[in-house]
Parts: sequence; structure tokens; C-alpha cells
Amino acid sequence: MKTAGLTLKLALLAAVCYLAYHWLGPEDQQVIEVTRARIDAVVSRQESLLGRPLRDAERAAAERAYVDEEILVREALRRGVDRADSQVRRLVVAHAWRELLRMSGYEPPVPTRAELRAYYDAHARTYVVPERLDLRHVGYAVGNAPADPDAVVTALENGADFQNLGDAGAEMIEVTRSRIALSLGLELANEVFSLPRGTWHGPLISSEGTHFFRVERRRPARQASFSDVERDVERDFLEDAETAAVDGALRGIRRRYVVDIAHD
Amino acid sequence: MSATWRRRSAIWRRAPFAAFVVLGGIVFCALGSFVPWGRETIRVEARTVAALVERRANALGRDLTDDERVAVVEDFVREEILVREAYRRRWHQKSPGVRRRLLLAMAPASSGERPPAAQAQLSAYFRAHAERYRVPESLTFSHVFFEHASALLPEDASEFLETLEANADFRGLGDEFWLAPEAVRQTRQQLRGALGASFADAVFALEPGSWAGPFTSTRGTHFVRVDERHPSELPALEGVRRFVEVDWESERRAALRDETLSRLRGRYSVIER
Repeated sequence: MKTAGLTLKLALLAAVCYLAYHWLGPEDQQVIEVTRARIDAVVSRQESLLGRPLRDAERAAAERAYVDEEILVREALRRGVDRADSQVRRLVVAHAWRELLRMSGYEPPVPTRAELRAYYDAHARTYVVPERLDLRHVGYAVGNAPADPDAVVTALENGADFQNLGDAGAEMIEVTRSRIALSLGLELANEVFSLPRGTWHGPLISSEGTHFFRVERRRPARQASFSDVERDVERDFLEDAETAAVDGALRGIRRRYVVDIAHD
Repeated sequence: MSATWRRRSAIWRRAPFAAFVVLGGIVFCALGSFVPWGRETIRVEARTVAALVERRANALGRDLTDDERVAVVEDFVREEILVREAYRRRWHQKSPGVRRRLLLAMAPASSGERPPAAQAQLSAYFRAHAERYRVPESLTFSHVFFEHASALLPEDASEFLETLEANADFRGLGDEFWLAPEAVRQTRQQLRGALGASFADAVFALEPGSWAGPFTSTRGTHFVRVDERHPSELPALEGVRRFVEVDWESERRAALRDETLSRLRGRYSVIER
């Protein structure tokens, strides 16, 4: 009993000391390790730029600059600057991708023409040149929609200069469905591509505003020949090979994660 | 309480730390049955799936097939695992691109967010660094150029110089060259960079008014007449105002950076190996 009481007291004392140190003690210091190899690399890069060896003072300045840079990088990480920056995320993903390929000893394959042909056949849909339209467009920004859209259509049909109407009027050549979808949404893009040729139509509403379109020319979709897209096929083939290699490298790593995908 | 229990519990009472470790171990293992050890959860919200699918559909210009919907989510999960692994292994600290981006984020806010230098500040800065803005000595000279081993190179240099002194239209003589026959306000540094140090030094040593040569440069042979020597001069502030403003702003940013670093250095200790 006495021993249990002593243990409890010791544990409480330890907890108090820990909390006191945590709240009142000095802020944790991080250590920046400056290796000779790292400084030599920094110096070598500067000497290449200058075309001559660095003097002692310049060498010392390069070392200071490296430490200062490291401090700023760590401070940025401490403040979570990286987490809020989508560009940093893309860079991190790209770096991790390269590291995993390097660690897995990945060597890019050299596909034969037959292999590329087989890849093309298996992914033929990817190599369809999409339907394209030549369009005339008049747009009104959100909050500036025309009070009488029918009057706008009538004016356009009667020859009003579409490039001087609304907030934006333009001729658009060889526009794909995806190009419209990326700025105005797939629903509106589908509407535009279903319009008959030769007359003005509107209003079509998007998150960007109110739109009027006239289809001038329709170019149907067509299957690109293998020879036309051979370079794209090779690029995609190699990308798939890289992805497979990264997925292979991630196989063991994935066991560390539980993926919970919410469904509607 | 039975004697057996009293005997057994006495062991734990005499070694409470051991009891604590055993009890903690039991709790630890029990928890492990419900929460997988060291496994992180990647939760993909429904709105995230919807956004990913929409983005891909827009890029393709059509609705996705079921397989494509699965692939889009799989791509996202793969990317998330890559990010988490990169942070776990501290790869993000080693990526040069990430470092550059973070340094940019830590740079003092752009000058557009701070008031520009007042006239007095600019004048004081200019006076303190006037030599930086000194216009160096330069020459305006005429020259006739011949490429190395040019067929047009005169065999008798003295005779050629006499021809030039006799006011021959030198502009049509020699080989074509990127530097005009009448070169205006060329500094020593410019000539050194373009035609070599020895040529620059030779031309700058000439007195104005007479043809001289031949002088060899890195590009060929020249006969030169210095027409005017422009001495080094210190311009007025208004003449170099834009450069002074840029330098002043650059120093202000450097001072802000140093100030930030002074505050931050206390958090770090540097070990050299």
C-alpha cells in the first residue's frame, strides 16, 4: 500500500514537472545540420556561375546564406505554409513519384511498334479527335443579364454586331466540348453542342453569366490514325508503365493506410 | 480475500511499476484490436469525389464511365498517399522546387504593398551610393574591320592608314561586322566583353583624331580612329531615378529579411559535420 502511494506521488510529481517545463521552459530548438558535402555542393554551384573559385569571405557568406535559407524553409514548414499551397502539393507529389521510381530501380521500357499498336487498339477511345464547333458567342456577366433575352436574339438575327454586344463577344474557332465544359460546365457544353447550325440561340445560363451562341460550322469527331498519334501513344504507354511502377512501390506502403471513401 | 489472492497480489504491490507496465500492455493490445497500429485513415469525402469526377468529365468533355470514376478516386488516393509518405520521410524538405516555393512565400511582401521611397529617402540613398551610378568613361570611335585571314586585309598597314587619313569613305571598307563603323559611347567593359581586353585597352589608350592600327581583337583586325572621349561622370538623381528606386527597394527587402532571420535564429542551433 505504502509503495503504491509512493508510486502515485512520483507519477504526479513527474507530470507536474513535465507540464511546467512544457509551458514555462525554453522553446524547443531545432538543429540544422550543415555537412561539409552540402556546403561543398553550394560552393561548387556558385563557382560554376562565377567561373572562378570563391574567396574565403565568399565561402563563408555562401555557408551563412545556406543556413539562412534553411531557417526560412523550416519556419515556412512550421507555419504550415506548405499545406496551404497547392503548388507545393504538386511539387511534393512529383518529388515523391521520382523518389519511389528511383528506389524501385525503375527503368523505362522501350516499347516496340507492335506494343504501341496494341496499346492504341486497347485505348482507341482516347485517340478520337473530338467534335469541334466554330462558334459566335455573346456573353453577359453575372448580374448583367439582359432584361429581354429574346430581343437580344432578334437583334443578332437582324445583323447586330455580336462582337460589340454584351460584356464579351467573340468568334471561337474549332472549340471542343471540353474547352467549353472547363469554363462553363459540361451541362452547358452539351447544350451548345446540340444546337442546330446557322441561327442564334439563348439565353444559356452558366455560373459565369448568360450566353448566346450561333454555330457556324460543325466538324465531326473522327478516330485519329495510329500514325497520327504514335508519339502520344508512346507517351501514354510510358506514363502507364511509370504509374504501374509507382503503384508497385506503394503496395507495401498502402498497408499503412485505411481508405474510407464516402458515398452519396 | 483468499490467501492465494493475497499472495499473488502481494507480488504486484511490491513491484507497482511492473504492474503498471503489464496493465498498460494489456490496454495497448486491446486498443490495437479496434484501431490498426500506425495506420492512418485517408477519408475521401463525397464532395471531393464529386469535384474530382466533375473536373475529369469537364476535361474529357463527357460523362465518365464507371471504371473512369473509380480511376479518378484511385488517382486521388494515390496522390494523397504520396504526399503523406513524402512528409513522413521528409522528402518535402529536400525537394528543390518545394524549397524555392517556400522561400518565395517567406520573402517580404511585395513592394506594391509598402509605400515607395520618399524623395528625401531616395536622395539620401543616392548620395550614399553615388559611385554605383557613375557612368564610366566611354569612347565614340570609327573603325574598319577585317575578319581573321580576310582576303581584303591590306598588305601594307601604313599605306592603308594614309588612305584613311586622306578622308576615304571608310564606311564601305573592310568586312561586314555587327559593330557599326561608327561606334558610339562604348565603355571599356563593353569592348572587353565583345572584342577582348587587349583590344579594349589598346583603343582606350589612343588619342582622339588620328587613325591607328592594326589592332587584333577576338573577332579580327581593326583600324581605329577615336572621335570623342567621354569622361566618366556622376549623373543627377533624375537621370537614374528608376535604378535608384529598384536598389533602394531591394535593400529594404533585404533588411526586412535580415530582421525576420534575426528573430528566427534563436530557434535553431547549427551543427557542422
